[in-house]
Amino acid sequence: MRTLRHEEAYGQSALQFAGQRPGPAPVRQMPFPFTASHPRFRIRGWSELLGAEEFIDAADMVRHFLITGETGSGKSVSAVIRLLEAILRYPEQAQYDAYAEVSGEDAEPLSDLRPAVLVVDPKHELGDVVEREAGGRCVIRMAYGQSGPVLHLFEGRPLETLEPFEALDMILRQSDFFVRDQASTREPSWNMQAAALLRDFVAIDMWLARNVEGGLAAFWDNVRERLGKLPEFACFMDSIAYDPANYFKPHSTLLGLCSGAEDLTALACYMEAAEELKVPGELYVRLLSFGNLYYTTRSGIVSMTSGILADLAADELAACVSLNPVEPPPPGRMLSVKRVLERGDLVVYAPMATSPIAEMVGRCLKSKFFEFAFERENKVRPFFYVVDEAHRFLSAGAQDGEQSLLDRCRAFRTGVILATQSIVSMAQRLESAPGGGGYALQMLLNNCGNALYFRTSDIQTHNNLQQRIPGPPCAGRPHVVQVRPLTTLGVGSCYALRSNGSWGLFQVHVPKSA
Amino acid sequence: MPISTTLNAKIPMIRLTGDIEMPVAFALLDEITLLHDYYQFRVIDLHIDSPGGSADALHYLVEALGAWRRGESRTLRTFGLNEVASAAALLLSLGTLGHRTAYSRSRLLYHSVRAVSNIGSSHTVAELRAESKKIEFWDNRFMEMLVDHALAPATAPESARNAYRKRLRQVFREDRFITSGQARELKLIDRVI
Repeated sequence: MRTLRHEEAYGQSALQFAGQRPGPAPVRQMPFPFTASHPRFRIRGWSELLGAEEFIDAADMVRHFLITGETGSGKSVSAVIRLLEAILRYPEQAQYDAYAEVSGEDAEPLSDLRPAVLVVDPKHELGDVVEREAGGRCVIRMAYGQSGPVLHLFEGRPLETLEPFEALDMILRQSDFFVRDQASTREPSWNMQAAALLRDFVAIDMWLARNVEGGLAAFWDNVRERLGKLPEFACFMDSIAYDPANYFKPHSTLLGLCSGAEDLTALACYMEAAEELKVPGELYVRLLSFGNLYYTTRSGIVSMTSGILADLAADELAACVSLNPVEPPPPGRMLSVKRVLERGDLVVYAPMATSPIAEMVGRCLKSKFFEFAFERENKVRPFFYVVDEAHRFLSAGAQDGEQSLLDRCRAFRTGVILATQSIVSMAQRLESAPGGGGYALQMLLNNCGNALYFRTSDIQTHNNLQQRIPGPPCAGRPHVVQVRPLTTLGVGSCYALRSNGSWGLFQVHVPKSA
Repeated sequence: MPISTTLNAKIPMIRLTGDIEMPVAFALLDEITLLHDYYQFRVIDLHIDSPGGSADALHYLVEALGAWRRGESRTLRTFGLNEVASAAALLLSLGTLGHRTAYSRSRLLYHSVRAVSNIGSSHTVAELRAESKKIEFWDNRFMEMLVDHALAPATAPESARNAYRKRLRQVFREDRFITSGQARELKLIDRVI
């Protein structure tokens, strides 16, 4: 009963503000697809599939590629690297000259047709290819947990008008802890209360940043000063400070100090500081209510919020992604996705560890690039997202999930290359994501017009392939996949399904120069 | 059944037995097309044990299998099993070059095309002349196919081709069974096992 009353006190839930708050107005989301006259892509080594010239139409290229196969099946060397090279070399001079001759004055400039590319390279096989084929373009390398370019989650949003609702909604969509728990829990009220608590923190910070000069730093200094008087908190003082690079760090520490049975000193110091800096009472009245909760309820909420912040306040995340809703990273460190897409830069992200946070960074990058891919000024320039171990970076959200993006983005000259071990690994990832499950996987598979199936023992991949290839033309004969199962394929040999409806079993002949 | 197929993941095997007549030729072509187009095999084994058959059926068959004979991104590995005679022997020899095999105990018979008449049938001179021309055409056609197959014009000098042609004609005229080893010496097969 107490929990219900508390929920009423908090009113707005994360679910509600995720679904109801209006986002920013879309900017010129007019499709600008490739036409049949555009230069074709040349994929070296694919002569068996594409014919002796190894060309594939640009419009087919942005109908996306799904590449599955176990380790050692040749999927990276035979497919991912071959496709990446084709993308990076696009448009090849001879192809462009032919296109320019046919199109005359309407021909788009060659420099504009060179794609911007985001490569997620967990196995360190693709970064060198990007460097080799960059052709003078800027290559931006990001490595998980290492200091380097920082993505600002709110790039493109005017921070002066950003609302706490929207800000926290965007942040929570990236939280693995929150998203997974929300998808699987039977008691979403804990999540909602944790989200509401965080939203209050963010609202207070945003008010301070907008209304008091240097207010946010002064506020956390004030909190630290108050807490510093108490010797039991002395060792935590370094973390109680506004950190523009790791925005949630002080919040995370503060909540950690509130998890004791009766101890609300840290929260009291926080509210006293807010009062002193004249933060409007309505922004922290719910924190008062939170403080009055029975301690077991309160510690449950703190525990949930701390779980969310364990991801969001991690230094490894902060090294790559800034969640700061009040100020962007310094210009020298900020990875401007908008600029990357405008200039045709190449971004390589190397998530060195199999950490959930490394995967969060990958998903943040993906969602930000796609957001701008739809809204960028220069829609002539193609954009490609090439991701190895794709199952680790999938999401199923209505806005940033692959099942939704793939369908829309082909009209914006945006293509996706998804390489994964097996379909079951994608299913496993999507099932734990909200909005995921069978339909999300099916939509994703349907939207990959081109698919290459290399050797694997995954039964789900085998079944999917059998569904996609028509049965034999004569009654009573077995299906080709039963006669030639995926487990029997040699290295570099694969079933290929094309977006034009054709299919075949072909061998990639890797060029000697590769 | 004159044609039976064994499917496996690596190389499928078609066994051809009995006379090679038009229905068998069509069935064999359908089977090879199915294995190539649907089952995506680029290498097929054709095991032959046949007393021969119609020159017309053989001609249709080897023309339709031109891409296989020339080894254009595909390989038809022919195997002579037991008795491989007449049209069957030519089919064995017109498999993909380098992939024509016979067992050491196989009996191979190469001969010129024969006219088969029903007992009691009667013919005019014109009919016999036409039949003669047809036989002559088949004979030359198959001979040239064999010569081109073993010694391609682009690679072998005309003198070598003429000598080879002469040698084959002699074997064809003799009209007798030869061993697999002799067939290999005549470049009619590539391997004896």
